[in-house]
Amino acid sequence: MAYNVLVVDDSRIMRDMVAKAVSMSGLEIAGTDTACDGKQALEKLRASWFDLVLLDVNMPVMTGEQFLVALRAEVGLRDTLVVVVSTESSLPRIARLRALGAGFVHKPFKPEELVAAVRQLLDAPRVDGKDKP
Amino acid sequence: MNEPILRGNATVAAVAENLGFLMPTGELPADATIACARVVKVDWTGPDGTCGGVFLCLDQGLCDALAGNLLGLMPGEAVSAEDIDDTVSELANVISGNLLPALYGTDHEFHLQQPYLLPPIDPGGRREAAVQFLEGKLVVAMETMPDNSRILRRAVDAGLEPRGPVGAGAPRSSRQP
Repeated sequence: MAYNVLVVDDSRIMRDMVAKAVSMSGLEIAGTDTACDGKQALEKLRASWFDLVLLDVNMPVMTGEQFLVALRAEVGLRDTLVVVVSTESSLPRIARLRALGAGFVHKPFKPEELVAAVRQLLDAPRVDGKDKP
Repeated sequence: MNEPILRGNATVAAVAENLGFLMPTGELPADATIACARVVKVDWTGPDGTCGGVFLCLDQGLCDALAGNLLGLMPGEAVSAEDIDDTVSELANVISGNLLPALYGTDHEFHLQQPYLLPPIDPGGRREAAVQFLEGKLVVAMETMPDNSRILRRAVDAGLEPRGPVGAGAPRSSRQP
């Protein structure tokens, strides 16, 4: 299966780096788009289909954590795969992000770490019992 | 391994190497002077109403190498001032995110603001890292308010072990049992 990927980060440099890492990751990629905060990411998800979101935490307008809470509450979007890609090291906050069903990759990261986090999400049993994407 | 001269050296060196493909070659003296080409600050808020800022000061050689590496430029290819500003800001963001928990522990939540540039003069403050790279020099200083914060002081007074970023395999100091 080829994935449509949405990269969400307020830094232009980091958006480009993450998108490049995705393209080098070995995952089959159908397309990549970007958003600069959680609000813009939600708008893009409502307008187009994405299989995977790579999400920063510290962003203006809407943080990654606020985005995740909103995403999981929205019918039709709540099952979207999300991997948080962040400098975040606070164990309580990482636990909250994981409880929202997100994978986690710590910045700076290697492409293979990103792949491992995505594969881990794909292999995890779905809470709703539906088939994996 | 010898005791690091400054507590944040291992973390800063590891992040710069892994993010910016820069090559750390050693520690600088804690009071080393640096010809600042860019100074960038990241404001933060933390536990117990604490707040502060992380200052990064880089010389021109390190700025040029960082921009070239992060943007995938060919050797000799021109680097714009805007590219340098953006890449230095990104390095500041990632170093700040890794350095605060390395200094104060991972039980606390720190909120980082967007990096911004300051005039290129040594900003002073309490130095937490001074690292020599093959490409140039980098100094990192910390500002913490209130400076006698109970939670943050406890970590400093206890000599909390400086740690590298999560999963980055940064070297530990000789205080490690």
